[in-house]
Order: sequence, then C-alpha cells, then structure tokens
Amino acid sequence: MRRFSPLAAVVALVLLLSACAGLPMYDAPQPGEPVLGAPDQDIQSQPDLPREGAPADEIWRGFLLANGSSTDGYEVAREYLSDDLAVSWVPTSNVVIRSGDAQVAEIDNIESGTIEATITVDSVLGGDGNFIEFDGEETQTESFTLNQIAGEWRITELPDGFGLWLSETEFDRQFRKAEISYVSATEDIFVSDSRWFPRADGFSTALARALLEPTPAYLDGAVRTGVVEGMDLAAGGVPIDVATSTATVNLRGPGLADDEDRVRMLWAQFTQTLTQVGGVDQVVLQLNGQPLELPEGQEALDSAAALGFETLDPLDEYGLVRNGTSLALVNPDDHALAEMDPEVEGIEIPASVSQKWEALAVDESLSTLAGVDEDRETLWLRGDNGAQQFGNLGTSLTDPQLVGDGTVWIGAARGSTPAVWVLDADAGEDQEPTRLEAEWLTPDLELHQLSVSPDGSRVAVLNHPTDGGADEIGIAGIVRNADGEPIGLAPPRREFAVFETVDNASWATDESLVVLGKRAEDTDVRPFVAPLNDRLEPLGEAPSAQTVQGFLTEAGLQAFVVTTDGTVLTREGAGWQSYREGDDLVVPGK
Amino acid sequence: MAVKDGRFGRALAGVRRWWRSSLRVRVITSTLVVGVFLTSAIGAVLYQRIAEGLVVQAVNNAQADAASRVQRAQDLFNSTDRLDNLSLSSAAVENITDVAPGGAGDGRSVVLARAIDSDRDTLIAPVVGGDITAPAVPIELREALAAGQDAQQVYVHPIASRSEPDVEVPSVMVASRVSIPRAGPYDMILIYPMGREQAILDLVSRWFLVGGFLLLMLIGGVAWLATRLVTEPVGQAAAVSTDLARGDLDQRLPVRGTDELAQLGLAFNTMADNLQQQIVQLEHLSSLQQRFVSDVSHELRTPLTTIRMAGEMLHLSRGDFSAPVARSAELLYGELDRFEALLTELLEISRYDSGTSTLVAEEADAVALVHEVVDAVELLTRQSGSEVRISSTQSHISVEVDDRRIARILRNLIVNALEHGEGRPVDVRLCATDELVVISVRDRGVGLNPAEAEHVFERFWRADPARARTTGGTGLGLSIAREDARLHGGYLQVSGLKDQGACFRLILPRSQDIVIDDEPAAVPVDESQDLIPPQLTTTAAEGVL
Repeated sequence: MRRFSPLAAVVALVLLLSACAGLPMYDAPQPGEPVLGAPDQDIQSQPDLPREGAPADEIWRGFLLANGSSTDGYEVAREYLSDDLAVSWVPTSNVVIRSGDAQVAEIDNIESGTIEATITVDSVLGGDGNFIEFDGEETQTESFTLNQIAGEWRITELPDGFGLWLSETEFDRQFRKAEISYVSATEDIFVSDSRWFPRADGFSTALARALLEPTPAYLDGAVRTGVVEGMDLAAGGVPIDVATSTATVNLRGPGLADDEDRVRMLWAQFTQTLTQVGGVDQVVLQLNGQPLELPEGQEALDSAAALGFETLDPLDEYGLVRNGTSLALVNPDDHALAEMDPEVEGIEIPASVSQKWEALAVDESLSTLAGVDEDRETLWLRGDNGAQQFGNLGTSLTDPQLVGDGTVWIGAARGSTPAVWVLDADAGEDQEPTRLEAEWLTPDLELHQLSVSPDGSRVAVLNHPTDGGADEIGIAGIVRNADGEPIGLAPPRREFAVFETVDNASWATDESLVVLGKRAEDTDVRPFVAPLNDRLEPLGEAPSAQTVQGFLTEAGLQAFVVTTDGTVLTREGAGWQSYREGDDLVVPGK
Repeated sequence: MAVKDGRFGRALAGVRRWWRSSLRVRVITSTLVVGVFLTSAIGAVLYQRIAEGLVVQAVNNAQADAASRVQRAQDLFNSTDRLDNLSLSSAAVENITDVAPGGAGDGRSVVLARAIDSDRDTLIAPVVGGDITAPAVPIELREALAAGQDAQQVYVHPIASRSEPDVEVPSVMVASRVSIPRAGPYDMILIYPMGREQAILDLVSRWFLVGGFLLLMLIGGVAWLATRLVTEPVGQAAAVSTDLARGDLDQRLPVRGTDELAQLGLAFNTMADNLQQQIVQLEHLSSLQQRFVSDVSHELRTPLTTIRMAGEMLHLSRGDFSAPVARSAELLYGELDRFEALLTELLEISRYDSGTSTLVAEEADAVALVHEVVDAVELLTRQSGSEVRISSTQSHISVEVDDRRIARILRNLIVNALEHGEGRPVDVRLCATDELVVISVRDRGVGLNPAEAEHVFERFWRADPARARTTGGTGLGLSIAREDARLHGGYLQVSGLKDQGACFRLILPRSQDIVIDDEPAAVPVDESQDLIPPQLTTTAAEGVL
C-alpha cells in the first residue's frame, strides 16, 4: 500500500496541473439575463393573406383591403404583390383618401391581367406630409397589372406613384397630424408647421427627421431653427425609454459648442415637437455621442417653457360691433355678443367712426382704428397721433389689419402688380411705407385680402386669379430683418385648394383660419373653419353672409358671420342664429 | 542478499548508496520533492480559481453590457419609421454601429443575423460590427437562443476573428433575441474577447512559476541550512567517534550553547569519559589478568612439573606397591595429565577472555592439515570402530591460518565425532571458493537436538554428563575451537538431529585480508550440501591495499 500512495499523489497532481491550460470554457451555452424584447403590439386589423388559387380580382381586392392594415409596414398588403414590387413599394409616398364605402371602385378589363379602377378622391396626403382636399367630384382612374407567379396571381405593377388607397376611417386610424416646431424670427415663440405622419412605432423618429429637414419654403426666412445644415440622426431612430418616458435624440453633425442660442433653440424645438408623441414626457439630446448641455445643466427637458419658449395663442377678450357710425364693445364669449361697458373694462374705445370709412380694423389695445374709403384707394388711420390718411399705396386696397407689433398691413394693386404694404401706426403720414418683397406676387394675381397670423410669423393671402381660376389662399412666412421689421414674404404654400370661391379668409388661431368660401358642391359661399394642412370643417350655411370672423376665447374658437342684412349671426348647433344687429364685426389685432 | 547485475542495477545501487551516504542529501531532496509537490498543487488550485474568477467576472460584465445594448437596439428598431427593405437594412447597420461601436482596443464585436427559427423571409442581410464573421458564431449558441428566446444565452468558447481565421481566442458570447418590424425575429450576438483575461492569466502563471521556483530555492536553502546545523555536529560526533574507536580516547565534541545539540554533545562527551574510564580500567584489568595468567602459568607449572615427575616415579614403581597404593599411583598419574591439560586450556581461555590471544597466520594447505590431524587420532579411530573418511573438492586448498590452532579445532571436532559417532563412519569434507574454505565434520551417532546445539559451544557443557570420556576432555574444547575460529575471522557452526548424528562446519577466510560480512546460515542437515560452499559476501579488510 505504501507504494501506491506516492503514485496516487503524482496522478492527482498531474490531473490538477492539466487543468491549468488556460481560461475554462463552457461545454454548452447557458441561459443568462432575461430579455425584455419588443413591446406588445396594439390591437390592429388583420386582413387576410392571399388565398391559394384566388383569381386576379380577388387578389386585387384583397390588396386594397390590406391597405387598411399598416402592421409591420403593410406586410400583409405586400403579400399580394410580386417579390420585386413588395420590396420597392413605399405605401406612405402618396395616400389617397377615397370617399365612399368599402366597395371601392369600378373594375374594368379584368380578363387580361390588367385591372383599371376608378375611385372618387376625397383628399390626398403627399409624401411630404401635405394634405390636399378635393371637391367631391374628383375621380382617379388607375391601372394595376397582375400576373401569375408560380401559379398564383400577384400584382406585378402598380400605377405610377401609387401609395395607398384608404377610406377616411382607415386614414384616421393610420395617420395623425403633428406640429413641427420652429422659432419665430423675432421672439422665442414657436411657429408650427403642420404635417401628417403615420401612426406607427417610428412616429418619434419621423418627427425628428422632419425637424432635421430644411425649413419649408413658405417659412424660409420667416422662422429660425436650431438645426444646422449637415445635422442628421446618428442612429436609425429616436428610441423611447418606456420606463422613464424619455425620447433620446442622438444627432451627428457640426458642433454647436459656442452657439448657446442655437443650442437652446434645438432643445426647445425637439422638446416641443417630440412631446406630442404619446409616452414621451421628456427629451434627451445628444450630439456626436456627447450630451448636449443645457444652460442650467439639466440632462433632459420636459417642456420648452423651461427655456423661455412658448406657444403664443392669445385669447380674444373683446370685439367691436359697428352699427352705422357707432362702435360697441362686445363679449365674444357670449353667444349674443353682449355689449360690455368700456368704463367697467377700463378701456377707451373710439366713440364713433365716419361712414366714409369701411373695412374697419382695430388694434389689440382698441385705441387705433384703420379703414379704407369706399373706393379702396385711401387708407385711414386714427390713433394717438390723430387721424392720418395714405392715398399713395395703390388701388384696390385690401382690408387693413392693425398687427400687435404696432404696424398696419394692407394690400394693394400697384399698377398691374399686387403689393403688400406695412406702415407704422404711430409714425404719421410722413413715413415711408414699406413695400414687402414678394416675387411671387405677379400681375396674374389679384390680391383680395391679407391676414397676419396672431403670432406675427405668417400672412394668409387671398388671391383672385385674373384668369378666372379658383380663388387661392396661400400661407406665406413673413421675412424680417435683424431689427425684426418685415421686409418680405416667402413663397406661399397653397392651402384649401378645394375652394372655388373665397370671399374672405382670416386667422382665428395660430393654426386655423375662418373662411367664407364656396366649394364645388356648395350652392353659395358658406363659412368654414379651416385648420392648416387639414380638412375643412364646414359650418352651417349662412344666407347673405358677407364676412366671417373668428375669436379665440376660453371656450374655444367662436365664429360669427356678418350678413349683408346688417345682422351678426352666432352659431347654434348646425345652423346660425341672429342675436344682434351690426354692419361689421371687428376682431382686435386680426 | 543477491547483488543485481547490469547497468541499471549498478546505477540503482549507486543511487541508493548516494542516498544513504548523506543525511543532508536526503533531507534536502525530500524537502524539495515535497516542496515541488505542494507548490505545484497550491499553484494549480490558485490558477484554476483565478481563471474561474476571471471568466465569471467577464461573463457578468458581458451580460450586463449586452443587456443594455440589446435593449437600446430594440428601442431603436421599435422607433424605426422607414420600413422598406433598404431603409430597414440601413437602419440595422446604423443601429448596430450606434449600439456596439467598440473602441480601438475594445475588440468587442457584434453580429445581427436572422433567427434560425424565423418563418419570415430574409429582409436584412447579416450585419457584422468588428473583426468577426457571421458564420464564426457557434451554431449551438444560435440553437440555444432559438430554444430559449426570453433570456440571453451565454457561451464562453474560443472564436476565430476575420483577420486571423486560424487563431481562436476565448470569448464570452451573449446572444439575445430582437424583433425588427417586418423582418421578424433576429439574433443579436455580442462577442467579448477575453484577450485581457488571458493575458492576466498568463502573467499570473508566469509569476506563479517564478515565485514557485524562488520558493523552492528558498525551501531548499532553508533545508540545507537546517540540516547543516544538524549534520555538522553529527559529522563532528562521527569523526570523534571514529577517533575514539581508533583508540584516541582523549577526543571530545566541542559543546556550545545549551540547545539539544549541546546536550547531545555533553552526553556524548560524558559517554566518552565513561568509556575511556572503563577502557582504561579494562586495560588495567586485562594487564592484571595477563600478569595473573602468566604468573599462574609460571607458578603452577613449576610445582606441577615436580608433582608430575613424582607421579611418574610412583607410576613407574607401582609394581612395588600394594594393590591399593598401585591403583592410587595410576590414578594420580592419569589425573595429573588431565590436570595439566585443563590448566593449559584454562590458560588458553583466559588469554581469549583478556584479549591477548595472538594469531600467527601463515600459508598452509587445509587438506594436508586435515590429513595430519586424522593421522594423529588414528589410535582413537581404531578404538571407536569408526572410519574417518576425508573428501575434498580440491586436492590442495591454500589458506592463511595459524595451523596450530586449526589443527586443534580439527582434532577437537574429529575426536568428538569419534566419541559420539557410535562406531559409524565420520566424514570430513573440504570445499572452497576464492574467498572461503569450508571444512565439515559429520558423524552419524547420538546427534544433537536444537536445544543442545545452542549450548554445545558453552564452557564445561556436556550433552550427557554421564557419558564416558575416553579421551579425557575438559569441557572447554569446543569453546576454545570456536574462539580459534573467530580469531581467524571465521565461523564454527553445528547442526544435527537426535540419534542421527551431528555436523560441525568450520568456515575460514582464505586469507586474513578477507572479511566475511555476515554470519552464515545454519549448517544444512542434508550431507549432500557438505561439499557446497555457502553463499557469503565478503569484503576486503580495511587498510588492505
């Protein structure tokens, strides 16, 4: 036995030393930490996949039905396409909203593998996020090509630019409007550009991308942005941490080390824009992998107000009703526009105004009046400096507007070319009015009305084309110089192309107008609330309507119609009711 | 004990001799062997613990890192707004680049590939970040992930890089499942090479080896020092002991301090003192005894000679005496012979006891010597009726002996054999080797039992006191014979069986230069062995060139 003990010890030592060959490896994979994985999907529609042996028209109808499900990037709809087409098809490039029910269209020429279909188009959402509404008579006929692939019919060719054909319901389920926030040229207030985005998990990313794109042409020069050329998303998206409701924007591009103002604007814009996304309460901003420092040293921002930025949407507390020469202070919050005692309100209002002057405008302080003569060739102002007249602005003067920055805006026909004038309400008759640069104001346009937005960043321009075409409403940004003085107008974006005739259009809120107009389907002009880049909201028909005014009160947007009969109509349900008389209703500052 | 022949045997013997020759060698060697064993075992255990710890640490770090990166990647995929194939692929590349960039020295890699159990079409080609290829990921890891998607799958395994496909580096691989819109389930595998851990381990093992070697050197040095502290005094003691043995009785050990070695030295010196004292005393006694023997010899012989002469006279004149007186004269004469023989043998024994016997060894022929002795006892041989047979393997066996003493031994053995042989033949056999001469005398008479064989060489011992003594023995013959044998450096042994006879064997070295190492085995009872010399080892006597 003694002989075996050393041997056993040597064997044991050899075995022990043999395990010293390096880092120990695993024989097989071992489970580790749990993985949270993708979030649960919301309830979504699940259209049927292509049925085996289905005929061509069933495939085509199935494809259109599948347009209604955006799950996994319209994965089911792609099953109805050939492989190549499924890869190249971009559904959101052009969304056509059809009117009518589920029965989509007429189908022709089905035998040859080509299906021609016609739909009635209600509106279209372009790939740029712009919404265009059409009158009810717009139709669209498209041709789809189907072929048999491995014995099954599949769509092999879509119409040029085909994106989606959706019903209104499907569209509302798949898309939503959101505001891309820019900053006013003169103040730290937001100017929004409304666009439409798919309601998908990539919403935050889509918003961020939209903000990083160049400023829209119609706002170019009228707004500021913290985004620098060359700035882009570093990662493929903007992830949202569900636990902390934080969206993290990781940018790459030129540094902003010394430009504190730009950094502030960037933070404010991204915060204002991204907090629209459900589940996002705060935003974290990084540039080139490093946190972008805030002035106060915070790591995240939950509100742009913390940096002093705000959305301006002032409430309209008063209105002025004109009866003949007298003016009355009225409460726009009251359905009957009840009169208010100026003394009680601590306001001085002009006692009366001459019948000579029409298209009255009043400033927000109710101390300065403006109007034009019945020939629309002279602008009249009455304020602290007394009455002033300006007869050299041109002809066919538009209704003047006394804007909150103390300026008077008025359009005119200068020879054959329209002109937009800006005057200082207090500078007196000797001042040199400023003619705004606007190359797009060409002789083929007749400037009918101007309306400056409540935030002073944009102007709604109502043009009547001289060739007899449909009246046009355009929104143009106001280009200002370093001192904040308006110097020009950016090229406008056409809105509300559905109108054939527009009698007047003015701002109600920063994001909507009130319009008295007529669409193809209307018998006469009628009032509308017109949200920018959105569908019109028709208000009830108002016979003899002359103008429509919109007040923003605590109760929301209140629209009133002034008729040619000298009454002021208040909206009641789907119709209008007259509660008082009046020749004109003036919204201070608008 | 047999000596093994062959080179290996000689080498082994050499090693054994070397091993036995020095306590220090044994202690240092044993200490080093145990030290090697222990340091190796401890080093191996520590190495394994460190290696396991490094791997555990690397795995924990990798899991935590991978968890946060995968979650970030999933969040990015969840927020993707572009779902066409090209954009998904771009997003995948951008996401992977953002999630797992890996610094220059980081070495971390990432692979994003369609899950092996996915039922979706492949919309995104595998995305790879870092120095790795997608096929290098072990399939068992992908399979494990397919089987357990709700958790990470961790695999520590060597993996080859793209730049060096033949070199596999131990790496921690953490695989997780991510879900990409439209594309479905994908595997995201993060690979963390353990190059740094391996380098740490290599460093540890190098320093373990260096440290172990230094430790062994230290252990050996300490052992050497410790043994030196012990073996030096022991060596001194051995040297002093040798001097003492050589007769230099004044040698003593130096004693320093009061430790155990000093105590040993003191005890040794005390022992040496006592021994010296006793030896001096014995020497004195011996010289006294010598003088006594000499005096007695001289003083007793003189009257004995006179008495003998008178006794001879009386014996010669016994015819003139009356019968009783004549008888007395005969008795007197016989006893005087016996008395003289006894006196002679007593003196001889006395010389042995006092250590003053001297050996005068000369070259002689053993065979001739045997013949002379047998011839000298011819009369007794005839009287006993036995036959003395002499046999020898050689006709002439030269041996360096004191022939007087050897003759005395032989005479004693042969006479005893004739006396106890009961008339049966007595064999005297001689055989020899280069180193030994063996003479055995075997009778077939009354024999001896083993108890009697033990006593047979004692003084005055008789197996049967009543037995008639035909040759007038004194009871000292075998004692003297054995002392004579010892004086030659030989052995005298006996064996026998009761009533079957006895065999006395005399073994002598052929020269006084030869020393028989060990006492021979017992005399074989079988007489056929009488002519076969026993296997004995011999050595040269010290001081012989």
